[in-house]
Amino acid sequence: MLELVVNGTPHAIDVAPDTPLLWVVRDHLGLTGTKFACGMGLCGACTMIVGGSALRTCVLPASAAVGQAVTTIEGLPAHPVKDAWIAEQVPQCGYCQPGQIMATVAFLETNPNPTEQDIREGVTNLCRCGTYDRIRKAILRAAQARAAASASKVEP
Amino acid sequence: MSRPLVPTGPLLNISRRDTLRALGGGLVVAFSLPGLASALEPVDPTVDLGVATPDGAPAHLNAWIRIAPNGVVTLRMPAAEMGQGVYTSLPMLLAEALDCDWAMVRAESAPAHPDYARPLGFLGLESQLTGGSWSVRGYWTPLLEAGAAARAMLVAEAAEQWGVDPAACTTVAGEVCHGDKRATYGSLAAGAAGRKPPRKVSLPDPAAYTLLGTSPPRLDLPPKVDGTAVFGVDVKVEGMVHGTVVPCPHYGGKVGKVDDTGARGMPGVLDVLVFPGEVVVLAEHFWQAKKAADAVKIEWDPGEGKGLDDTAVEAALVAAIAKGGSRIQREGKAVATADSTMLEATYDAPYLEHATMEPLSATARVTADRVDVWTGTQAQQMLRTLAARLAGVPADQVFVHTTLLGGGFGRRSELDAPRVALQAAMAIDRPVKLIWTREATFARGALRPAARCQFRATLGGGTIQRLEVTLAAQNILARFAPGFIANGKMGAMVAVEGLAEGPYHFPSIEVKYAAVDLPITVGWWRSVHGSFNGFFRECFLDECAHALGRDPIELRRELLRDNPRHRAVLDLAVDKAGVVPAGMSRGVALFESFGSIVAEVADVTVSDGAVRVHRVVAAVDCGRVVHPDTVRAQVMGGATMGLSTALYERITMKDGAAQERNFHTYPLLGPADAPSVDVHIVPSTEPPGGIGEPGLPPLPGAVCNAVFAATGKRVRRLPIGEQLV
Ligand code: FES
Ligand code: FES
Repeated sequence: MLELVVNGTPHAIDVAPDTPLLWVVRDHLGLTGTKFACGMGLCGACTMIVGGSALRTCVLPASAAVGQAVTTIEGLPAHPVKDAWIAEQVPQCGYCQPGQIMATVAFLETNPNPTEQDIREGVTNLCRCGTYDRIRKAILRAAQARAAASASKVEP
Repeated sequence: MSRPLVPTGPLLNISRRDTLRALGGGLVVAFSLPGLASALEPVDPTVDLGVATPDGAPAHLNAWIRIAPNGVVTLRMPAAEMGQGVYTSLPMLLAEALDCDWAMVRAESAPAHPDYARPLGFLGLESQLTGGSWSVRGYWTPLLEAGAAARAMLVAEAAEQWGVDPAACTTVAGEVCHGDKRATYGSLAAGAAGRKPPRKVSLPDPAAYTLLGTSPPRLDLPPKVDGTAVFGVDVKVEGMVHGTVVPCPHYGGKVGKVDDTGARGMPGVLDVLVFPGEVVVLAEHFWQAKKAADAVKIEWDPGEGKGLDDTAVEAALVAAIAKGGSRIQREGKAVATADSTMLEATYDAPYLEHATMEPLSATARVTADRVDVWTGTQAQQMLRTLAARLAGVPADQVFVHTTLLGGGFGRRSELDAPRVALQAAMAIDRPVKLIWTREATFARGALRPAARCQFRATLGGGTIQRLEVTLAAQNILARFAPGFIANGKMGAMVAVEGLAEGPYHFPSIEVKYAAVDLPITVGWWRSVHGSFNGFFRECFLDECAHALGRDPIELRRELLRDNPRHRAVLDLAVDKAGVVPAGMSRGVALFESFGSIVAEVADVTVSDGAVRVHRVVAAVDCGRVVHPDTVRAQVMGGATMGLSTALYERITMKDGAAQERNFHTYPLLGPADAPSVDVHIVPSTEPPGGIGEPGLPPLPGAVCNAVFAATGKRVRRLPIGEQLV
């Protein structure tokens, strides 16, 4: 039995421990928001946040996530990144977007005030529909929204 | 649980509609539209979008429109949503004519049914097919008519209830009004649904459109942002088993010896199925099937593919050009002057994979009297026909559930993924969901053909006096249309799209198409032949300008003198691009495809042979625009994908098998290299053009022309790759 905590809920799952986390979450937990695209860690469609880092879970054995908080797109609450994605009307086919969003959420945690160049280097997920220009705009917008939110928190 | 598909009214025959100019500027049409009198029961729409929730039993006004008592309007989408925004633009057409409140609109996927067919735009056929950048164009009139017909029925119902003249009633945002009387569509729908559809309706006056031409937020984006959107790979069906496919990678080849002894004993494995063209491994979970598939030992018989490598492909293209091809266009006489010179060049483009981000996938359930298929398909009607044939049931017992598509670009107009799922489900008598790996998806590509284009220009008197073009490529239409069509002028016209009868005026022009016969599967790939013809022609035009000592933009403007729309697009792109930023070099290209004209300006730098495109400025004239933000998104996406092909993409062959099987050997443009793309729309009241594809063709040419401006080197073979190093 593999014990995982996904989106705050503990699960005991009967699965070979070397099964990639992606497939445990999709097939055993039924959470299909996270996507499979390359299976080689090349595209980022399968990105989840594991122990605070954005990881490509198609190449991550589920056993490596034991004892770490796993967050999938379904577990992401109302969030400035999601709002920014809607405001900029980013997705086209949408298939890469859960991965893009999860990668961005983790990226902004480490770099809350990125430059355009930081974004180019920091969020490297592929998008065949070519939404990169809008993704960049959405990341900048989300960063501003986060900054504004934390500024309003510190002010009395 | 889905209910059977029962037409509750007679289906009207398709006939030519006669169109009359109406008083007051609107258009009155008399028609008999398929689906107008039918009310198909819902068939588990896999996609159901919108914020408003219907209450109670909805009334079916026609095959497209249901209205719930609380006024929520559910619109059935005949086409597939693959990113191009049709699940917003098609509802807008219906909602405009219905005159309902946009906030109350839902959109769901329609079943595959002849009610939802539209003209294919060529061949004179109708089908429920998403492709050819044709959804808005093909459904424009049917949806306006269906919306207007439903509106007329609601008005007639209200008028009868009030005892007033329907002509004296008006509608506003989901209500019928007369004097101080008002009734909501929701309250009228049940009665209206029982009425006969009108024989004539008046379409909204374009000058009074309230929704068309605006950009409401797309209906499909909230589920795409919160992870609830259902793609083919996400389908869940009671009792299904999971599986994966190992296709024969050799075009023209087949499965040889299979040793599955090791695989069959692996955990969770249920079965290993051997079909002529592929092996399918079924298990309780996908990963078990995938691991077992890796353990199956398969010998492939390369068949016709044997010995077919890049050298052989190129030799076939060269030989086809040498043979001369068939003439598609010949106009004017060669008028050489004393100063005339000849300029010749040959261009090449490789096979390309669609590389949709979602790999191939389909789920099928086959019982004695009912077949269900869940997949992201661009070809619902053809899939319905195929499933009926495979399972041996009438077509009306086939239920196609169209999911969202994780990219289509033409690849999902192929039926291979659902076909294998159906065969597997029949073989083991259980519902089967198959997800192909990326490697399997690459191995079964329906590729953009490789092509070679030879140009010969007579230059003199400061201009191009004569242009001769010969294009060699496999004929895509050959797989889909009878030989006499594919091999006739139609097949050739499809291939030379944009090269013949183009917008530029040449005093003398000759265009030939040299068909190439190779066993490699070629298919519809975003913008099809425009994806290389734009590169070929726009780069050679630049070569001509350079040889003539003329500015490439000025030469294009002169050659476009008979086509003010094209010239205006070019001028807008150039104007918006402004001055060339310091240190950068600029290239320009223009291409018309799918009824829309796009010009793109690329600003690039080249250092150590690496091309960096900093900015693309595009202008587009796609006629009347439904949703401007979608137009901008599609041109941005097309240009970005075009850049990916210009820089990186290439499928190579060995024994007729694609050698690239994942993104490390077939790199896609990533965010680090993606330029900003500014898109400007020419305001227009012309008939609508397509928008999913036309943004792509100009881009490779614009970039390669900019590369020439930067380095003096002509790129005549895509991708640029390492050529400049
Ligand atoms: S699917 Fe995991 S990185 Fe592509
Ligand atoms: S939106 Fe389609 S792959 Fe990114």
